[in-house]
Amino acid sequence: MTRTEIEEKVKAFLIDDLEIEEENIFPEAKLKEDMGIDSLDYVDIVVIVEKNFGFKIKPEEMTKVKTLSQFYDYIESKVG
Amino acid sequence: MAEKKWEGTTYGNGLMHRWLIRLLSVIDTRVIYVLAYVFAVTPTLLKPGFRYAYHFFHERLGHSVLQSLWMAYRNHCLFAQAVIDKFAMYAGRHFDIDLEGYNHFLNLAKQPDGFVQLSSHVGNYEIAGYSLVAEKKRFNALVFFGEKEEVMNNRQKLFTHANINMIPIKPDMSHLFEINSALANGETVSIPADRIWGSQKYVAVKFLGREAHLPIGPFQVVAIRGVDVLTVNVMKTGTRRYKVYVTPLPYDKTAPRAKQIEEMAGNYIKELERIVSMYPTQWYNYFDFWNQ
Repeated sequence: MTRTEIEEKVKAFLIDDLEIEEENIFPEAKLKEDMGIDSLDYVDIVVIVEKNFGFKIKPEEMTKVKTLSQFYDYIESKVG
Repeated sequence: MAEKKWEGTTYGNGLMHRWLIRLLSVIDTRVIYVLAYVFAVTPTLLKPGFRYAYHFFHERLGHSVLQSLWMAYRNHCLFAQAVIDKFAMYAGRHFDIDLEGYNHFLNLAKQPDGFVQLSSHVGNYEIAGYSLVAEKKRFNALVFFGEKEEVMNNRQKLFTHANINMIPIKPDMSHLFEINSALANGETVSIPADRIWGSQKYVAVKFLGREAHLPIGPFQVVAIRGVDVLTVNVMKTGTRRYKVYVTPLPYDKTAPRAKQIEEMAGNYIKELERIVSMYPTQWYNYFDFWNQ
């Protein structure tokens, strides 16, 4: 899966499933501060990532992911 | 609004708890009840909790001033009994349990999918709520991480051989992932749905004639995984008797997420109103639930 495909899939579920405004979705966006993602949303993300990318997120690995760009990097490291 | 952050810690320290358990293993609980009314309940009459209880009976349930004062006192005595009964259970005492709606639990327990049990701060969930375990389906109970060590140790002793796992709420939110994993593995998860735990987001409901806010978390967890959900309330009906009310919460799993949550929350609060109308003095949310 290419980086672009990853970014498009992530953007789609952020908008459709987590109802995040498109203007808040940019690579440098901080997940909590800019996109308003809270602890419950992380559960959603775990389930959605599993469905869309076929791997289980380990919670301890997500603690280091602060921005959207880092989130793309993380997924790329798992599916690339 | 149910904005009171769930801190769920039992009054007292480890030494007090250990002594209480020792006493309860040899002394009738009724003796401890009376001691509690004098030494534990009376001092609380001047505390904010008593005021909230009074307002609950006077403004929400429409009782007169004197009646509300009496019911608030009775409510505090029953709360003391609930705490003592919990320790009596740790001491090995048994209670007679009547069940209503148990077939709903059994039906879900038979299926391979996980499901959620929602509880409330009414009655005494710990007496029997954790007893609804299925042999092959592990039961996970969400508990407050800061709960006193003695209580946690005694819970652990009771739970270990009963296929019950405790999921403590932690600041790093790892409990949310544990809940998700448990449901994905086809297990049962028990969650209180009337206190904040992990997210400030809420869903508005009408409860006893006035708008209240419930934490969105429990309903969102159910909707994320698309599992079935029950409410379980355990109410005191006698000195050594409790009745468990198990009620399914139907919701349209194909509806948009927000609608699912709204439907579940509406059904949850409807059931809570039914329970509170039957047992008004066993309501134990001692804070401004309606954010008045």
